Amino acid sequence: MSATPADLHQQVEEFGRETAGLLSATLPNLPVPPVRILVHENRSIILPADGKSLPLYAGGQHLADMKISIACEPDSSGKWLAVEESTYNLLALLDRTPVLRIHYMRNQGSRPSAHVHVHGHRGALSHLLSQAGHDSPHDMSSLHIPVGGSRYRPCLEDFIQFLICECKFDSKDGWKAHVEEGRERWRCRQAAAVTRDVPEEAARVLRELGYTVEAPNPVPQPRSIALRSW
Amino acid sequence: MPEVQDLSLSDLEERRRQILDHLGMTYDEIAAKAAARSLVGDEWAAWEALREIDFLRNG
Repeated sequence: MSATPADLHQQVEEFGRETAGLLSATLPNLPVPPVRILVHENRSIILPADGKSLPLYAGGQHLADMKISIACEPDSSGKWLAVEESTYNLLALLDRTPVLRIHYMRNQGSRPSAHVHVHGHRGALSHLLSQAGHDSPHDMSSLHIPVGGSRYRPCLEDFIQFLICECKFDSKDGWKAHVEEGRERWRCRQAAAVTRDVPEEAARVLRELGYTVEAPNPVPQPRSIALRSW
Repeated sequence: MPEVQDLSLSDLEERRRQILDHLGMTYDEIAAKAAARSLVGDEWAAWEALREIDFLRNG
């Protein structure tokens, strides 16, 4: 049975609350609340509160922006909210364009569903791409660097920790506990999705751990597409 | 609690029109710049906003 629009709205509101709570607990001087949710029929998008970006500070100075966008719709069962596309961008203030993007598209086709774009320049890379016949050898951002596919892709918590630990942007006291709690929640959800992908494998591991697991009749077929796709 | 904005199709079309008017481009023109990876400045944010509207409209 499909979820009603009210059920799906409730799910997206909960997801929006989690996202807002994570951002507010980790990065300083964000608007309150930091995100808003746009809804049309059964589709929704979680965006920065102003629809554009959120400020990032270093030493109290506004140095960059981040853009997040999480587009959701019902999954194939119609019961649960699925992320159709997500974007986590680090944007330069100087020219308001991305420096780095972590992008996910559920139905990506020939490209990796979860990938990173690096907006940079490296002569040696341009040279080798040119020699190899790449269409855009001088544009590093044209490369879709794969990062784990649909099930093992980076989460927003990873992006926030990257901004704080690797890029050295300011953080709020106690940020790490919120990031780790959110990451655990995310990875447990992904583990549940993988269990649904390959239930026999999940049952085998549980039996190894001493659980008693009986297969239903009929045995569900594995859905390995998410595990086979890059 | 984040604000939830329930948008009608006409709301989305109006937003789309405003973005394109502000850019001074047609949708096809900015889509061509995006495909050629030649977006500059505010065009990035505008293109992402247009894609978000497309996603909501195509439900």
